Amino acid sequence: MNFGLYIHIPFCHSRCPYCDFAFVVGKNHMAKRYMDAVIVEMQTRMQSLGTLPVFNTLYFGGGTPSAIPPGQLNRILTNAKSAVSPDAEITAEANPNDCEYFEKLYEYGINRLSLGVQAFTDRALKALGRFHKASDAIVAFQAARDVGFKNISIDLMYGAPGQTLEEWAKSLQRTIELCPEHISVYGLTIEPQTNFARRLQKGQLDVPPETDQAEMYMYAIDQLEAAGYTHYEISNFARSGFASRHNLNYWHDRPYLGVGLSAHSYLDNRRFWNVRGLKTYMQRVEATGYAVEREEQLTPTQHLLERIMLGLRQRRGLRADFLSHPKIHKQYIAMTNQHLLERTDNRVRLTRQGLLLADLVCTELVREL
Amino acid sequence: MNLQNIRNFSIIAHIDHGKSTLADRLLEQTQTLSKFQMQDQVLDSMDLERERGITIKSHAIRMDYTAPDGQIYELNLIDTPGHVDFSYEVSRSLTACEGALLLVDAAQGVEAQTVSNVLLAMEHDLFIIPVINKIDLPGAEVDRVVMQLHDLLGVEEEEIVKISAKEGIGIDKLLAAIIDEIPPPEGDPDAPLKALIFDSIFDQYRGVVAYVRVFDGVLEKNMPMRLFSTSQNYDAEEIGTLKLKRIKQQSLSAGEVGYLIAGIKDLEDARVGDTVTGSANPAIHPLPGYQEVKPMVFAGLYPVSSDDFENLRSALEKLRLNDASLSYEPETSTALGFGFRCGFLGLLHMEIIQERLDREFDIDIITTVPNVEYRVRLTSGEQVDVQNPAEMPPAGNIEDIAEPILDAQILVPSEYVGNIMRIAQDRRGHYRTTEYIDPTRALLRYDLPLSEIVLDFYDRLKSVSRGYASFDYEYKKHQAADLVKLDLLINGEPLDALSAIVHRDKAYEWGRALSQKLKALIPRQLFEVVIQAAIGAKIISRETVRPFRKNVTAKCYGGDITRKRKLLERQKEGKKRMKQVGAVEIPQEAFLAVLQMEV
Repeated sequence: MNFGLYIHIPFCHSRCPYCDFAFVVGKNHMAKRYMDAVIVEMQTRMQSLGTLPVFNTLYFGGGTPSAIPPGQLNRILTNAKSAVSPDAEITAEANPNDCEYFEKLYEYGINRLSLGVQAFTDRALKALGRFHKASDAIVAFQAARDVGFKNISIDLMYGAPGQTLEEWAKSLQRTIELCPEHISVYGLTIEPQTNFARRLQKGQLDVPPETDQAEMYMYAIDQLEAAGYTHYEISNFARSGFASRHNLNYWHDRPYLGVGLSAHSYLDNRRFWNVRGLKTYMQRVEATGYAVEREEQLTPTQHLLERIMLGLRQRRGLRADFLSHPKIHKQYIAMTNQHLLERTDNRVRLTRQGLLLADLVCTELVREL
Repeated sequence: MNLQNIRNFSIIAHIDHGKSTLADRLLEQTQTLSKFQMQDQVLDSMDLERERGITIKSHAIRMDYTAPDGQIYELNLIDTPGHVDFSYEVSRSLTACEGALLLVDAAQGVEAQTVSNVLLAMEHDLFIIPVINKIDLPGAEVDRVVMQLHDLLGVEEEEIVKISAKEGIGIDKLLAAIIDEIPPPEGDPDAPLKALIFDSIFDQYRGVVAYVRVFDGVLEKNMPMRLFSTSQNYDAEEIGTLKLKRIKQQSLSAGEVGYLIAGIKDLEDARVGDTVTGSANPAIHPLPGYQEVKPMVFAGLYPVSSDDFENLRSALEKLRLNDASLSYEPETSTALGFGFRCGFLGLLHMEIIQERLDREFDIDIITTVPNVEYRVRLTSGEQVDVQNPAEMPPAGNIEDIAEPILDAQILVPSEYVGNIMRIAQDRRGHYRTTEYIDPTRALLRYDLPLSEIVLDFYDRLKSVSRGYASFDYEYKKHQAADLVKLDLLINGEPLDALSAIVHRDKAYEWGRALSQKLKALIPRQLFEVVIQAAIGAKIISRETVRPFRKNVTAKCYGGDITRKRKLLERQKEGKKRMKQVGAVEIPQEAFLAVLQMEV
């Protein structure tokens, strides 16, 4: 049985100029009240599920889970203990500056640490508005290893303002040298209503041109594969056996429960998500046990769209029978002829060229649906 | 009614000079309508007419007016369409009258259309009563307009009626002038019937309702009758006079105006300008001046969604029931699929049809570049009329191409004459004469190719004259010119919907501007898109739209699959609104690009 549990910790030390996730800065004094609410919501949800679920993954995401005292995360772990399988993957996202908490996190049962490093060059870190130095990241990684983490993931970001391919290569090289079990490689995306979006609009943000970004991405794939990592999803690489089980749940159309503000859940073909405001979330949970903003029942077409969209993002690809759909087949053949899709046994996946154009290929495939 | 007590007249005016408001005031003053029934601009019955402030269809209304001397008069007001596109209808309406009120705005003064209307009224031998309207406006320059009217018509100030239709000032004097000065109709009630159809409308319950003016004889209920142009016989099922509603009568005799319902199914069979006569004792000759109305401007209308083709057909059928001057026939475009080539009287007519399709039928359409009808002489000696640039024969087979030329009149304050001349030159105008209608206003006459005004001529004219220039035209002739077909190629494939016939001297500029415009409108795709303009096999300009190098969402936002799916759904719907030409996706706006070009 695969069932994921996601806990959202919105607190952050500072605002990253590219981030559009739900986060709050300077509200850490509310962490206790917030965690109380999270526990209430989690319990209400679990009771309404009927039989006690067994979660095979648990994920503390943010925000910055390491921004609050680890004891607060432990309260969740203690509370959910009976519903979490003994061999569960339990991840916490962490900031390299918070390494003094790592020991506790490991002690409380968290067995996977996802470090938000972003870059191993000080110039890029500064350009991304991060407060740690490259050396802090190396220290943090070492600290995580030292306290016992055997499954560490490093988040990297390419396409930082002013970044060159050489600089990016340096970050990649350092990462490989550290030998993490898992690496996520995200292209910087300018989301609307972020600080970066405003600067870009004013012409004050020097984002590398699209061709350079494409080159950085391809270079990362080559380097990481050469270093023995498996490219298993558009932006994710892992050593054998260390693919993120929690994320695979999302991508394999499996159920998950999200608790905390803005958290998303997927149960019984239904997607629902919580409100984004910290106060609203707490007040609603305190009053009713829930804080759902909206929910949607997936139509068969929507479900199919999601399966195709998520399937294509994985390197193992999509089951070929999805593409025999009469409204898809013609486009599938066309995309194959353009060498954007390829067939391996009974699965279809993006080619190397197709990876760069994944969104366009996907839209083109489903245009008639 | 005694002929002596009938007055048939129309109001002629430049657009916006207050024609419909004056009509309202006359209806009110003659108590044809009570205040209670009044709605602004009663005679403009289409929403579109009221909104745009122009009369699209003619109307007729009878007013029974008791004059101060106690006599009762029958006043037939025949309202005419107010735009040059409909000048033939105006001309037919005038034929039905003995007099005309020439309405001039006290602030604007005489305009190009005023002049052409006067000429038209004179041609029809109408008695003209000059009327200055809006005398209450702060900007009114009554003395200046009096001078202009004096120069134009040779009238003295005492002969001019000064009114404010809006405020109801001077309306009684105007009614007195109508009775005293407009001659009563003449006609022989004992002669064989001759009645002119000056307009016809389609009533969904009764079929065609023709508006007629009887010149000779008597049109009686149930009499067998015949239409001259088709020689078809009908029975006059119902006849009557027109108030706001139709009032049944037993007969209409020489001099009278009214309506006729005779089981005519199709508007085309009751053409404006045709003559009705009796089947038993027919007149030998019809009334003079009948001509078939020919469309001047053509464009392809294509449904955005090919599923709407049949809806578009039925919408056009319905519009045509009320508008015999609209023509359409199916055509196919490699780029746009199945659609219709439509013929319009002019640009306004085209806009009106587009707007009605959108408003009344809710069909999304793409309109191709409007063009004129070319008369092509082939080397074989044959002659063909080309209404669609895509159908232009190969250059090698063409002896010459003739295009429609207009006799254009532009009336403009003298300080803008230079600007207007520059535009007219740009538009290949051939200068003819300048006349000064008063010391400050010049009337320029040009021979101007219709194709040159089809795009934005009128707007340009207005903008270089700070809005003061006015413009009127009529078709003059077809004349050979050095014209070439310019094709637009997308990745080597001709995009037929954007082909255009242009003058050789302008072809390069046109080709370059069009390809640049398209470059800006065609989104980046998976592959490079090459846009070329060509004359025959010769490429004259080239632009490229670079392909996407990278288009991939980095992160799938934790569990928020919904957000990514919605993005996909939006992109997918966006694709549905594009037209696929070969493998290239072209947004609808690209087909309108030409309309916004400044060449």
